[in-house]
Amino acid sequence: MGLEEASHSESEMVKEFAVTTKIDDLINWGRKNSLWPMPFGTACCAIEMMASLAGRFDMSRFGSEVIRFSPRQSDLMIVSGRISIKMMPVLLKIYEQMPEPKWVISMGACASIGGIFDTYTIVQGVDRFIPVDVYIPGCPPKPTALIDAVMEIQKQIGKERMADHLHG
Amino acid sequence: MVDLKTVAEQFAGTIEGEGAQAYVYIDSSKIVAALELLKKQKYDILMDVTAIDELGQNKPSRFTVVYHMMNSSDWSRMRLKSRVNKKETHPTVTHLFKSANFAEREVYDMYGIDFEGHSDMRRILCPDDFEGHPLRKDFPLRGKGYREDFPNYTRDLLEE
Amino acid sequence: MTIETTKLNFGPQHPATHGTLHIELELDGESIFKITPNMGFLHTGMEKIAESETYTQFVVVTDRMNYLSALNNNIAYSQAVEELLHITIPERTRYIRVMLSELSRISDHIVSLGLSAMDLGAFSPFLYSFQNRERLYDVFEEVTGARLTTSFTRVGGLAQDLPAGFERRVKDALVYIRNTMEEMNDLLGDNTIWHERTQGVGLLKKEEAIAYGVTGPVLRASGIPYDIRKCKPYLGYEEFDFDLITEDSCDVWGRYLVRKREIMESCKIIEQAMERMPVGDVNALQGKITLPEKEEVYTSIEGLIHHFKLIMDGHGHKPTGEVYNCSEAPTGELGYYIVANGTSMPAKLHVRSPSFYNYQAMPEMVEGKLVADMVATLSSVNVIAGELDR
Repeated sequence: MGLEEASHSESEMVKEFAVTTKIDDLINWGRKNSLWPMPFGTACCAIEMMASLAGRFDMSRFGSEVIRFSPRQSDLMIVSGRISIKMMPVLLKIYEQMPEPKWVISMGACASIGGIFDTYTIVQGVDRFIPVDVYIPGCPPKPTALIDAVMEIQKQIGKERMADHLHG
Repeated sequence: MVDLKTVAEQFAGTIEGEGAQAYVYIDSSKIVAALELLKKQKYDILMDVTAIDELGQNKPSRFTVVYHMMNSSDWSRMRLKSRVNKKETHPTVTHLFKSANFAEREVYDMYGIDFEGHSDMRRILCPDDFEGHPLRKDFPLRGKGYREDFPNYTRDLLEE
Repeated sequence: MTIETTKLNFGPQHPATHGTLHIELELDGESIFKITPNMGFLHTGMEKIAESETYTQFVVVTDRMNYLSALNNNIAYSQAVEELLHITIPERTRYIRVMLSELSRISDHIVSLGLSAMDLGAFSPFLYSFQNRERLYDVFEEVTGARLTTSFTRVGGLAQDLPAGFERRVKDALVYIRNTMEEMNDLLGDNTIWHERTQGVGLLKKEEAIAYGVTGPVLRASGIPYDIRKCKPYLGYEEFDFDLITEDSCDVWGRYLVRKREIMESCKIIEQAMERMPVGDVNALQGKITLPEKEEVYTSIEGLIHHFKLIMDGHGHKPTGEVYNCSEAPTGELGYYIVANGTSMPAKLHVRSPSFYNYQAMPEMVEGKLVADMVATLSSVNVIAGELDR
């Protein structure tokens, strides 16, 4: 009777009504299930990206419901299509405008390595200038490949730790 | 009705090529007058302006400007060519055909031919500070290093 | 009195530009004082690539120009090279090319309608049009192996013949498309908001359309009956029974009607082509232009040498002379101007791209009007950046 019984029923109540976890997992769970993409679509891969946002390969199932073209409100940049030397400064500016934390998917052969265009005006892979997290091969890759890449980013986010960021 | 023969006779041109793909060479001092005549004779749609670079082939001039005309009443076509002088300038036809505006800018961008009298002669496809003219035969396919020339971003800080 | 204007950049990264376009606007309040269209953000140097690749290798690059209707580009290019080499393609190839060209046209027009509706705020037509496109992608994947960038034609024929059971899938797709077009028409056709946003907007008069060299649905919506399939038929289009659609309103509403009715006409052409499809080879047998059958390559020495020479140095493809060959792409007249010099690579290849000339007419259509009208006009012109910049 008394204090012991009271604390026993309290711990049962806690188990029923509360969830305990590490802060890292909580933050990562929130981030990876609500990735807001910033589609930087230039060419043919952009059409496959649009197809993955449409009815058949619905990407909003994975939390990417909000496709707003504003870099200030997004955290995942999907570079889809060939990047020319005239477009590169625009890409860098938009990358700068995105707030941390941010991730980059390089979709297709042209964004990853220059693709079939080894010419004077196509940047041979955006990873020479911005850090890329996931590469998707294909010309263009199927929307299922893009969804697989988003799931891969979700796995990577799941492994992040707040302690790494605290030290700058 | 005009056809290639009447144009060649009237403007001292030479006909080359065969069949439906024949064309006429007209001197660059007379090309504007020839296109004006064609415009009056219902060849009033300028479909395309482009240029050819014949470096190293012993032709009278390195560059040739090519005009593709179409007739708006019976949809027939005609091709005219005109040689570009050594200073790489050529008269413009933007006062006759509005569609020549962007097309001549593209020829300037790709080949370096300056069109005298064009109101807005600047590059259209390459960036404004690009040097060189890409479709010339002596310009390398992989370019001269512009595609490498950007700052490098890493996760935490900007490296130049 | 001087007007104070505000400068606004529309693009190159913007949700309502179809591709990477940059339009500099000088605004006086909400109305446009001056507009300067810029381009070049997707310039790839395809014409330079053509000078260092053989004729067959370049087919892959042509897909990437108008990526919404890649088969039209492939067919237009192969046609130009075949005219240069004086090859006649077999009957069956002709019918297959007509059918694929019309399927590709439907997919382009459907996306154009869906995206122009999305730009003005109606989101559902976008979803319907992409659902349609998925049906067509299934057909393309079955025939060519790829959804979007097909690279299906070769000089003198096609990469391979049609698979069995193809007709059934196309018929199902056509039924689905017809039903969906009725639904989209219910959503947009009698919709007051759609009428207000598109009627009287983006006017391009007849004389201006001719002066700017505009072609395609934009020209036909200004009342000029120019469609290469009717006026200068190629691929045997004179044997098919379809109408040339024109409208007289010269505005965005007219272009919407033209594209919608052209989709219906394309369905008719596809059905006629499937009914009359002859049997036979798909590759031209004259000369040694096309690849031999694999059994010949592996069992006879002539077949092996033929295959080797064609792949290694483009042996049968060494034309001289020049050609300008045009065909009706969904955006307008797509022309290929090829100058050959007797080697297996062209001396010059120039693409007369329809979007380039349609885009040039933008200032004519929107100066003096409101910014919102410019968005509607830009999506009705259907500029595709890959074709614009090459």
